[in-house]
Amino acid sequence: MNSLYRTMFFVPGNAPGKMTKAAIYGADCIIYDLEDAVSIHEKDAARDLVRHFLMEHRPDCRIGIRINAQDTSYYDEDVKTMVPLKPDFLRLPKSETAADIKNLDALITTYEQEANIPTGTIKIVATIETALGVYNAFQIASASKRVLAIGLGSEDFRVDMHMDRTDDGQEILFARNLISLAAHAASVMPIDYVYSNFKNAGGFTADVTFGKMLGFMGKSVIHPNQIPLVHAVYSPTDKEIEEAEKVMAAYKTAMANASGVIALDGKMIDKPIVTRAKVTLAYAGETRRKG
Amino acid sequence: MDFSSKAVVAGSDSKNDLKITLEVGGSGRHVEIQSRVQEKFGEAIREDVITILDEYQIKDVQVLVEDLGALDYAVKARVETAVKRALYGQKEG
Repeated sequence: MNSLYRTMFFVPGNAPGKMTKAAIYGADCIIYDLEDAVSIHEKDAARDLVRHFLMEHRPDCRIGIRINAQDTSYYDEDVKTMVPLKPDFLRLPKSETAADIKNLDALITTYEQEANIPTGTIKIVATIETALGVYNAFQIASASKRVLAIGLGSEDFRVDMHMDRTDDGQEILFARNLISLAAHAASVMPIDYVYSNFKNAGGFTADVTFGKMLGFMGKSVIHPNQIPLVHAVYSPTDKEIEEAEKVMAAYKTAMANASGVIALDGKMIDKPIVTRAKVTLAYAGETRRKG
Repeated sequence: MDFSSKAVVAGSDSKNDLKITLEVGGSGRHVEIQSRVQEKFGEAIREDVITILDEYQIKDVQVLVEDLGALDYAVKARVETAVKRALYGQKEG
């Protein structure tokens, strides 16, 4: 299993056919959804289905579960039922403040202890869906060591902000920028928002490419067709890998010779370029491992 | 199989799912299975149903299983949901 989170693939938690098939699409991470994809009449059924599924089937990828929000009556039961299944993380919708994350952290700890799971095993991915949440993005991202990533829930955010919706998402640019900035400042991953028009492959690819440019490290997806498109954008090209290898070779030579200045093809190589090369090669290595 | 208004339902009539109709009461366990793959998997489905009934110690019950190609985990999950709805009611909100 690789350690990338290029794709977080949402699968409805009350649809056995989709749950069974989800693993074949090659997402880095599958999120079983107990929230928006499940009607209020079927919350109990989805919880039972996801529990039995994960007790018998464990896809060879990262596993997350989107629980219901803290202001619903399902929240506590979702956490209590899902923690013993040892998912990689719980994804919390409508995260607005550091207190929301600390509350979930404490609840996970309670149920980890009950299930004899080492404290801290299960991480948190926070979905930020309101103006207040975006404003508090750094506090949310740094509220707990469990926070693995943060991301924007764009539809609810637009409603909260009284925004008009465009297909290329111009109106959410500032929120995306801020979430990426806050995540990197807190050393957690920024995961880009769901692009819901899955029939528009061109628009989707442009959106993913732009998100990567903003510093996002992966994208939430809702349709299998979106998965290879995201992976193509987030996987380094042969040319990028070759360039990174050259940078690292020049860097190692300079280190071995105790040389203060590193140059490659007539250009100076400084620390950010070396860091970028390391990241590129790490992505390339993980992608090859995944096969 | 006849059910009263006290019967509960869980699951759906979607492909790879199943629908459970369940009513606690009467005398003994009565499990009826309707499935295209009854001949091959009927006994396995029955075992899944019994596993959950045993877990909740339900001895007197009527269960109708309408299977549309569900895997074991889905059978157990849908029976468990039906049992909990019968015993504790269904919570919304």
